[in-house]
Amino acid sequence: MSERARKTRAEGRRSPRAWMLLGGLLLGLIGPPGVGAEAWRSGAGALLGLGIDSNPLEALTAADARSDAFARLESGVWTRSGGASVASFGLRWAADRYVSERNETRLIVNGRAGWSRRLDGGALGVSYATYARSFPARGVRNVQRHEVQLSGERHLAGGERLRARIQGVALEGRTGGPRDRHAGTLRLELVGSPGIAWSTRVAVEGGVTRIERPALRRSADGQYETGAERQRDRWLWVGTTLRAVGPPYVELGCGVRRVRSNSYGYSQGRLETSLLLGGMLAGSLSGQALLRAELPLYDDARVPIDPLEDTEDPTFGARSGLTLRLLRPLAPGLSAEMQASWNRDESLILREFYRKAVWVVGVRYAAGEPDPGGP
Amino acid sequence: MLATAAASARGQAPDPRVWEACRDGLRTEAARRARLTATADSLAAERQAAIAAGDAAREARLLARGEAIADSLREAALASLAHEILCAETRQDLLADIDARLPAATGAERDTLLALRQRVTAVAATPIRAEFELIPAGEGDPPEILRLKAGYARDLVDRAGRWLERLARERQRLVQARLSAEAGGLVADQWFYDENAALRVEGEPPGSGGAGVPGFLGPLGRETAGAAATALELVDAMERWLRAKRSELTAAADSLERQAERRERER
Repeated sequence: MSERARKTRAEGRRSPRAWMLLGGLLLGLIGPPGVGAEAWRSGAGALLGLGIDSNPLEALTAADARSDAFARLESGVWTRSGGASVASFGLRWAADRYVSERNETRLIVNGRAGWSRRLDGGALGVSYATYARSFPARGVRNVQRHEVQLSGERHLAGGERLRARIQGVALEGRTGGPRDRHAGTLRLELVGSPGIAWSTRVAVEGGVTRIERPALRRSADGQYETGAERQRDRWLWVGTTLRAVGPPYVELGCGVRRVRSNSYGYSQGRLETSLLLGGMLAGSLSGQALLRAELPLYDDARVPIDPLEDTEDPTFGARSGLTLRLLRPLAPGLSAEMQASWNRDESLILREFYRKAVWVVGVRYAAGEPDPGGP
Repeated sequence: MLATAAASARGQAPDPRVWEACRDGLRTEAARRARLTATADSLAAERQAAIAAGDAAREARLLARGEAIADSLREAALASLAHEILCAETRQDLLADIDARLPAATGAERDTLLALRQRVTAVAATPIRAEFELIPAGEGDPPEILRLKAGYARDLVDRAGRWLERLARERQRLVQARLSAEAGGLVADQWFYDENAALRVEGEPPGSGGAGVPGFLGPLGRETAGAAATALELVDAMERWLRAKRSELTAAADSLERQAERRERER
């Protein structure tokens, strides 16, 4: 048992993770899967791929960058029901075997369970998701994520949909992984359709993230010292998305995020933009391009380099990148795909950037109604 | 597939089972469409009753079932068209094969061929929406009859055009479904594989809602890329067949009108 868990138990209160698990259990009790469902559907899929990761060690400087080839095996089973009530289950896992620089295996598991129901003029949903990522051989940088979400939708008289979502996230770092953190989020969004195949979305989202490390403060002599309280970041995001399903498919998004921290360690604003394009190319070939650019808005008076920060902690600030994907159906259920991406991610040590490029080519088989799920 | 089977059998005696399988498939699909239509009508009536009774929960459940039935009906109509096109090819192959063999056939073989021809023609005479059978010009047809036959050929050209318009709408719907699902899949992949994204706790960035729905409300309205891709291939094949058929029918109508003009001049 970890020191934090012992302390929590000694104080006679449940940890956020325990609340998350209880929430998941409660979800299973109050929302029996498939109640009122008229039909059950299921799907399964698998991906076999090969790729190259240009910066497997996530080196901070270009001089440390190396390339590593990896083989990827992915699979997933999804089951859900149709009708007024929709029970949704998902399990997706992947293993990447790196063969030279890392010489190790990365495991990813994503499990999901949710239930949603159509109401008179709206819908209501509740869900739990967990995400685990580990490098068993190295025993470091492992992380477990738990997510509980309650979402609702109301159809307005003008045809717009008003959506609300309350989300709790617990991120648990293990054996050398990132610091534990817990976050609560409230999101409101208004979705409208200005024309056939067009939709707009305006959203505002705010939340608090508590990071399990001491907040920094500046002493009288100008030095940084640790305080008694934990670091706590409050943030607000306002953004809008315009989507046209075309063809071609176009989704343009932009938003502004402002983070205010009780610590000098991490505080900044960000301008976030994204452009997602998709279209049919020659024959049955289709392609997508996702361009994401985030511009950090530094506040020099409040953003020093965090002297306590661990360079192994893979927490990032602004993220930018370009991802290209080509897909071609080969036979019913069978498709070939190629994906290439380039990323430039700001590390927590501000104004330092990780850069990496990943290239993957693979064959995917999907039967039934596979639903890869989203964030 | 059926047409291929018929063509491959051309070297031997025509196999009635090929046509019977096609005919049975047509009847099965017609019965399925009829059942689905009846179910949809019944659900609509039940929904109206639920609305009148103020039972919102039951109304929502019936609406969801009705939408699912409507999806199935649209798929069934397309499947019927595909089957009818294949059957039309099979029928043409079989009739051509029978007509080629009849002059040399004697006795029992001739009786068998004639019986098969009658069966194929009898089913072909039943109303089939994707029927594009031309009425050929007769040796002694007067110009008025030839013009009537040309007019019927023009009607068939219009029918093929209407099917092409319907297929174009279906193609757009399938492409939209496929592109939306693939865009959602790309964003989902970013979260699944990208370690940085999975660690993020500050909520989703703009443009990450590829399916345009938050979290687990998504399954209520999500479509899949795989099914759309397969259906697109079917639509491609049907469009190619219909375009070729439309060209053929247009040429036939032109030819009939030319023959009518020639016979008028000969009078």
